[in-house]
Amino acid sequence: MSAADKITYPDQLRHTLHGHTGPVNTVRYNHTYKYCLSGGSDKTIRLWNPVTGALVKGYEGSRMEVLGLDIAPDNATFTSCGQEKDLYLWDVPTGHILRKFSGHYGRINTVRFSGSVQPGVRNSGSSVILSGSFDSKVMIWDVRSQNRAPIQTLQEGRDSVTSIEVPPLSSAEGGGGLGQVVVGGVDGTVRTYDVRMGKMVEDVIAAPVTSIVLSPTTPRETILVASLDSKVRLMDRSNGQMLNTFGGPDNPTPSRATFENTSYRSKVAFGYGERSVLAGDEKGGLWVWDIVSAKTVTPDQEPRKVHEKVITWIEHHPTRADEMLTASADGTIKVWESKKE
Amino acid sequence: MTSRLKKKLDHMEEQGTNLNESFCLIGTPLPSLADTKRDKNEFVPVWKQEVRDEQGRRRFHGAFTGGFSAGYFNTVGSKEGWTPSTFVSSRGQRASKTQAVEDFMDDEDLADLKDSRKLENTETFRSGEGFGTAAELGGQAGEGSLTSALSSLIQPSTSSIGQKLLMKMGWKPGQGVGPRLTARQLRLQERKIGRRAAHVGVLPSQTQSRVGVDDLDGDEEMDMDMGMGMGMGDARDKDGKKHTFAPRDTKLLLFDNKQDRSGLGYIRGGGMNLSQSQTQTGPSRTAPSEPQISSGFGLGGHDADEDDLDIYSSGPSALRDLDNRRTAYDRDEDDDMDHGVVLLGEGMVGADRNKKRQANVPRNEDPRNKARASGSAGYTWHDGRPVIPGFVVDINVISNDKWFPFPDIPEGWRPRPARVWQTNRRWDQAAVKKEEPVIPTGRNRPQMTADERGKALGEEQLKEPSKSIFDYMSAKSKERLAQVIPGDRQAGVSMEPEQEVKPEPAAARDGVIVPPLSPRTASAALKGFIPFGDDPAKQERYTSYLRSQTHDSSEPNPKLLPVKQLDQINKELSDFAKSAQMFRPLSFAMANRFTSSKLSAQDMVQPKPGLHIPDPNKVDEWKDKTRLEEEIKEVLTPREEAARAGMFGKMTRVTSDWVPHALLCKRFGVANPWPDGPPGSKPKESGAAEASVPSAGRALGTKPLLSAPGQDVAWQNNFVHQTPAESSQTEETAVPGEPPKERQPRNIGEVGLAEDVNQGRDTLTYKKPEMDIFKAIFASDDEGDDSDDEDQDDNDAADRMVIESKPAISAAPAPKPIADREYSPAPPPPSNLPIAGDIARPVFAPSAHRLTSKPESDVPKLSIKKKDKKRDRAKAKTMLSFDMGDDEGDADDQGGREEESARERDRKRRRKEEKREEKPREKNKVEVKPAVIDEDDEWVEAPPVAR
Repeated sequence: MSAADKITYPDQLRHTLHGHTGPVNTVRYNHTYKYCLSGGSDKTIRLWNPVTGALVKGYEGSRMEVLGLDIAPDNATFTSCGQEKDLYLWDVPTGHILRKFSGHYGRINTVRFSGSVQPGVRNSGSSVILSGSFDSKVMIWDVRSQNRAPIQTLQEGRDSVTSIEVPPLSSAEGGGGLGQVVVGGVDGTVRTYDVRMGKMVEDVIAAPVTSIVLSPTTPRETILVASLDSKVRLMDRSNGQMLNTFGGPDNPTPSRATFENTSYRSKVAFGYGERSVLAGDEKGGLWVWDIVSAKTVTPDQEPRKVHEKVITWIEHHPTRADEMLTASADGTIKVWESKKE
Repeated sequence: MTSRLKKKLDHMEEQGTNLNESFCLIGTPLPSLADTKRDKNEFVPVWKQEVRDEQGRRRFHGAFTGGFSAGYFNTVGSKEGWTPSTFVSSRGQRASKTQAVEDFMDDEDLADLKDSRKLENTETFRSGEGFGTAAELGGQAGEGSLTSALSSLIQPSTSSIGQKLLMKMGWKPGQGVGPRLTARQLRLQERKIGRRAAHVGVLPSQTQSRVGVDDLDGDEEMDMDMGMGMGMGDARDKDGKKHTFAPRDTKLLLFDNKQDRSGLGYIRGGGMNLSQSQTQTGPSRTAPSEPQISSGFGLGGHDADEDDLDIYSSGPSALRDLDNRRTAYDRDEDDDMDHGVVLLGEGMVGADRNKKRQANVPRNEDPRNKARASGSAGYTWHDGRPVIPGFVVDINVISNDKWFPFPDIPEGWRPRPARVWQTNRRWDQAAVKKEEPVIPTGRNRPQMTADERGKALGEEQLKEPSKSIFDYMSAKSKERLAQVIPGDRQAGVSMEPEQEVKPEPAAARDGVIVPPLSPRTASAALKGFIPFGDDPAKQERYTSYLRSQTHDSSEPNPKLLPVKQLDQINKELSDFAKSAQMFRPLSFAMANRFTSSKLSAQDMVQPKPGLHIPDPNKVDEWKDKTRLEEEIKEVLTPREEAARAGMFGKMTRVTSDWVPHALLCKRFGVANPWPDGPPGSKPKESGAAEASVPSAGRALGTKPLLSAPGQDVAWQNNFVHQTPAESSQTEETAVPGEPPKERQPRNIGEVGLAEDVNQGRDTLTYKKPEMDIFKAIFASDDEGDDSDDEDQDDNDAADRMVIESKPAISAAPAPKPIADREYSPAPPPPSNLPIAGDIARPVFAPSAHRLTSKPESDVPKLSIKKKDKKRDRAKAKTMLSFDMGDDEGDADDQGGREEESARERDRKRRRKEEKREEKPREKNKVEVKPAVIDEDDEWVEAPPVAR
């Protein structure tokens, strides 16, 4: 492995974003990737500037802990969900709650804008919100309609829905929406709803799926599935085959420590250029695997302990190799950068 | 002169005003009017003076500004002006208009008038004579007859409204109120009145005045009645048969208010030794002269045949008299027509009547009067001693209940309740024959078992008799138990749930004590297990004993142990009784709770005495055991097993049909993949609604991470209240693609919106009326084609493209990616070919062509394409479609419009031909399209055929 090919990751701590008084459950980049929005168990949502490490704005109004966030493609609004079974649509500049969507019976774990941009239609990506809940349903909400009922409820799930992804067409393919919804849940199944084809594809993982991450470049083909059997799988979406496995007790890494994720939702991420897979374990260790060889690339092939508690969310900057966010249950968000050379 | 005036004026100004001048030399001057009441018009010449009313409106106007009050009270210049609001000509009916004073009054006057009015009772409704406060009435009563008679002469006769009403109903002054009576009844009534008057010592003054009135009236009946006298009863009886008489007037009962604080019956001024004579002439007597009159009347009222009544008699007759005392308004059950005066009491219930009777104690009927009426009886004890003055012996003697001695019980009688029960049962059976529900009450309830009762009630009989717990025991243990029972621990093993009332044991003859047993227990024990199987003789004795204790005691005396010793016999009998209580079956409900055990008692784990200390080794063992069980429970489906084995791919993948909502398709910008509704072939997997039924293949046995609610309906029902109507309501016809359960969840956000679950649904499924209707109404022929629904969409889309695209659109033949926001006219496909599947993106003919350069060759191509499009859509719905157009439901309604499409096609073809000539005229129409993109008018892309 030559030096040029050496897989790197942002390993230098640039900022530690203190502010949340409880576990940080999620952190998301906005669509210009200049700001990030975090939601925590302290019922607050905070807008940060990861470059300067400054807190830009705090959003208070959620009654219970915030579990999921998503920012509209136009960056004007964002939506949050959490324990209170309601979905909120926030106005970013004013911090007002624009709308509330109610219908779930359980807490809402994750929320997503459809993000499928239709050419020529204004705000088309932010017109539909998908929410996955503990009540094992995915509800699809129409932001533009005044109707308070969801457009549709996906009831195929047998257990709590933990993660939703809406694959966009890759920029090489012209952007826009693929017309698909990918849902992962505790029932150990990744379901792909194809609106265009009218089909639903179930891929059984056989372990509670905590997060699914679509490949940024080839969302149609590749998906990363993290499950509670301490494994992160790279799956081929087209045929359901497994491309690679990371972590897990039977992982062929020679490292002494083993990746462990058995009870918390810890969102994994693709590294820059999809050359690596990033995951956090429940002790606050950061795992970086080579996507091809599935070997840890951290020094000494040991996980690097970056947080005190479980890492709940890893978000890598989509366009820059030198920025990464990790959120943890210890109440901090850390912004990582690559070593300046 | 002028200078003097001027000087005076100046002086006045100095002083303020001349009103301040005081000419008072003596006393205090009145307060000056200077500041408050200054006349504003003081220095104003007359022609300039203005008169204003209290509201400040000008009152008098000049001749040219309206005259007096400027119209009708300053209405000049107002909205009403001079015009009467409603002018009615009085020419035809000139004299009919009567003018009242109010017509000429203004608001203030009317208000004054209103204020001066006072609401009062009219004379008619003012309460007349006889109605008033107690003091007035008392005064009237005290005044006597003469004053009232005089006042009746002097005062103008005014009758109250009640009086008028009575007179309208046939009542005449002086008569009593009520139905007419026969002569005999009348006599009885008179006697009663007279008697009471005698007792009371007061003749009602009304009666007195009545006499006069009657005489004045000269009423024939009354004349006869009064004039003939009471002594001529026999002669009158003959006539009395013929005539009926109005009842006598009776005195209104009034009561004295007690106004002093002395005790009841206390007479002021009298000592303790107040004698009876003193009492009679006491100061509290209200009308000393009345007794004579009344007694005279009352005596006169007596006939010879009524001599059994002694008015002044004492003792029992007084008792009876007071018993009989009643007012004219009440009537008792024991009153026959002869007896009572039937008045208001006709419709009263007994309780009311009794109450009334209590309330209607005559006014002067206080104890001393009572005592006086009953002679000396109330004032002397039985032995003749006088009662303490001021007290009266209560005449209403409380009589003791009559006691009867117990009958002599014959010698050797033994209570045998079974006989009584037997009769009871017979009665019970008779009741059953009558099909009446037997309601057992209290202790009289016949002692029946549940089976018997069920039989009596005609219930379905149980197939097997109710079991005793001894049925579950082995015969050996039963025997053993039976051996043990005669011992002493009967109370400990008693399983009797209810306390039975046991008759007392009676000593039988020969000294044999047969312990009583409730027949229920006995009969139940007979049906149950019968112990003593080893000793048939004993068993027989046992059964005979039980039979003797049952209802039908055909053998009342049980067989006894053939021994001499009484105590042995008695012991056996008592053992029998205990055994019967032991072995009688439990009630059915109780017995159901027991089942035969698979394990014998020895197999059961015996609890160890003492404190339990868990063995640490065994705890781990136990944990392992439970863990093992959990793992065993985790049933893996084949797919999961494959996934566990890492064989991802075909093994783990299942593809099924899924029906997205039409609106979802629209929002995702794709065509509805199931425009004809969900595929019916696979109902299991097709819709979201069906997916709530867990299929076996999908049921996963994963250990739930977060105590999964899943699709547990019960869990959801904690949150949702679904009415059955909602759940049964499906709208498959309206929205075929949508699972019916879709909109069921009621959440808090919807609360308060409306009760309608389907609120807003009609907007989604709103079906636009056919364009034919619009055309028939609005359209002229030349704009026919353009107003077509689908074409409208085409134009909208095309127009939008025009707006958004750069002018370069005109010549770009090659297809471009969708992302480019330029749309170029695709080369029109040959008309005979259907649109190929790879033409996934819509092809638009930009209206720039139409607007700018419209070559003649273009138009037919466009029309051909459109035609093809329509035909294709009619054939296969997966082709390019613009159906989503304005409303979401259009795509769903496509199927319903199938049959109309042919007709439409013909019509359109016709129109297309017309359109060719009229095409240039459509320019204006295209140009006025709004520049703002309506978000609902989105174009929709056809699904790719295969991917």
